[in-house]
Amino acid sequence: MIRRFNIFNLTSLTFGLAFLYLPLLLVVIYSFNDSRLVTVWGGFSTKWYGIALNNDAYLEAAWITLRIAFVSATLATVLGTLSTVVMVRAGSFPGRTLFSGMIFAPLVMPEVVTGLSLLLLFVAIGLDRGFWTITIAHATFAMCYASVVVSSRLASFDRSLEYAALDLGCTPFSAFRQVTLPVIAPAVISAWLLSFTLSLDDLVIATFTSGPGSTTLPMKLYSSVRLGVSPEINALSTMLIGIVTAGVITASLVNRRQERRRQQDHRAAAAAA
Amino acid sequence: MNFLDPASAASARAEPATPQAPARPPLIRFENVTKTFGSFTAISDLNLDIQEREFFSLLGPSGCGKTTMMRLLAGFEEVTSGRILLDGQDLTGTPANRRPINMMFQSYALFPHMSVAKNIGFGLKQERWKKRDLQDRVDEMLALVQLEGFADRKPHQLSGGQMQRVALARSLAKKPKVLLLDEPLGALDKKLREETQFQLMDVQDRLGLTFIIVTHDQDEAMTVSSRIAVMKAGKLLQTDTPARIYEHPASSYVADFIGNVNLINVELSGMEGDLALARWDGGTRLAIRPQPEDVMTPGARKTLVLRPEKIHVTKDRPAEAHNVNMVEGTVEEISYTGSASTFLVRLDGGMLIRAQEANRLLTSRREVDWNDRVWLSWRAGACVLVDA
Ligand SMILES: Nc1ncnc2c1ncn2[C@@H]1O[C@H](COP(=O)(O)OP(=O)(O)O)[C@@H](O)[C@H]1O
Ligand SMILES: [Mg+2]
Repeated sequence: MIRRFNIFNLTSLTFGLAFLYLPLLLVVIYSFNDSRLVTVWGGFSTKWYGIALNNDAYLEAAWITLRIAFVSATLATVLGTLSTVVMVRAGSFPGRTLFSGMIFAPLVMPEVVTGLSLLLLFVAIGLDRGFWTITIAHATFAMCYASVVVSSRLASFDRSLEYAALDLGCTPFSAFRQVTLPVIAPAVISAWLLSFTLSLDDLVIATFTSGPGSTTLPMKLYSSVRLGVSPEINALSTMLIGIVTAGVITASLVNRRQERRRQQDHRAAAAAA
Repeated sequence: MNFLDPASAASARAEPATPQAPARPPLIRFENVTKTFGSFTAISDLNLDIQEREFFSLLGPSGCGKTTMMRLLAGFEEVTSGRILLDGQDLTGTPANRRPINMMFQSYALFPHMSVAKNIGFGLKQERWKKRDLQDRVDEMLALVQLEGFADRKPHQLSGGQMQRVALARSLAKKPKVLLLDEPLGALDKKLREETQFQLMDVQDRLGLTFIIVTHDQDEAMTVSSRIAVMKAGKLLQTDTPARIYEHPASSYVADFIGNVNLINVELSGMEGDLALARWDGGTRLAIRPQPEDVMTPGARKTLVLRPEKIHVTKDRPAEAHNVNMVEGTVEEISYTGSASTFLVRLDGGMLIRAQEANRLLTSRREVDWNDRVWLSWRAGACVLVDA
């Protein structure tokens, strides 16, 4: 019998998790540090949160970041869902593999390349860089993540539900709106949350595509850190970690619930058979 | 019946075998319908008339095109050539949502995010029915399938049989002219399936609708249908009442597909009174009462279709009669199925014949046993000839 936790497994698990989360943990701990000096513990305090939340530059950056994340996540989810539906529905046509490959390619594309190419595009078409260029850029690269999430759900979607809706008098569009969309809604929601968090903590692409007056929070943090890490930044980072974690956990909870429901349905169907 | 020359035989055959001359135009007409998927022909030049209020079955092996015919009727696929008429109207170009035809899906296809009542009322909602009328119709449908009190359940809270009934109620809610049922009972266990068959027949009769059902279960088709079409590879082999399909199959394929059968190759030899005489491969002389449409050319090779339950199994030699056929053999196998016993009898010529006797006595009193010498006998009118 293989023991699930032997010394070796336990050690590698500990080191792996420590490697991943220790730095984050340090940031969180030091955000509650009373001392001015980042690395010297001077007692527990939440004063840096107050200071960070009163810093107009940070607040403005945070507001821009949230707006960008909201709009780009919405764009990415809508476009990602529609393109996936079209791909799944289209069945096989010449060049299908190439086409679906093209939707998913940005997943493995280095961010620097994506950022640079988008920058070139915006310059070429003479678009002023700012809020909208970052939003479009984020929507583009979040869209493929959204597609992956939605397409895995659509793959197990029973097409006959849509046929039933058509049969009962729906037009194809209203069948999609009344049947398909509600059924795949949990996947669409988690695609949105994923896109939102991706946009929220992106630095590279935002740096390439931002313009004056559209500095996002990660950019702001990065430039401040170059002048030295302050406890205020730790506090801000902790808040960012909080938002992202909440997003990711919600997305996975939504997915888990959906998965459980589906298994229930399968069990019911199996029991019926 | 006399031996006919082929020419007059053809004219004799021109008269319809079943007097089913339609007084009015058919509700559904398939006219030279062909459906291809790429280079694959799923339905090939098919003609079919279905009358109003029929309970019509499509029966055939998996992949023969049954579902494709349903999807063509429902409007999920367009015909490649030919046309489908409903009430004399060409359906070509009418999308699924505007055809007065509804379908019950094999997987039921209940909307998982809607309650039973919402599922049943879905089609009515698309037609913007008034809330009150919609509610009344949904209640009526729930009563029809005996699911009062389940209105607020979600599909995943139902058993298989209940889901099946919700699917039926949903597809009937708009009172379509035609209801298509694609293997509606495939997922139910045997006992529930038999109950549901009768329920379907009852509903069809009460609402006066036309049902077209796809099944690969021949017993089911025999039980529920007014007519059965036997399909093979995109073609209709025979369209007839269950009794005629069973007792007067048009080919040995149909005979073999429906129920158990003995297929025996024979050669016609002549007539004796109103009976045709034939020689079995082994040389045994057989008497067969021919059907009016049979062409009896001496020397022709035919296949004798003989159902097991038409054969008597006895230990003593039956009395000679000009219209009784008999052969002798040894019992190789007896299978007991409660109401009947099936005997596999090896004839002295080597052929294996399946005969079935109702168990009129208790098994302990059964006179025939393994390895017994027995006589098989059947009447000249109990078997039919098909083309070899
Ligand atoms: N959309 C399609 N594309 C390609 N081939 C199809 C399609 N639909 C059905 N077929 C083929 O047509 C044949 C008949 O299918 P179907 O009507 O589903 O058979 P049945 O319902 O009698 O089992 C099968 O060989 C199937 O593979
Ligand atoms: Mg089928």
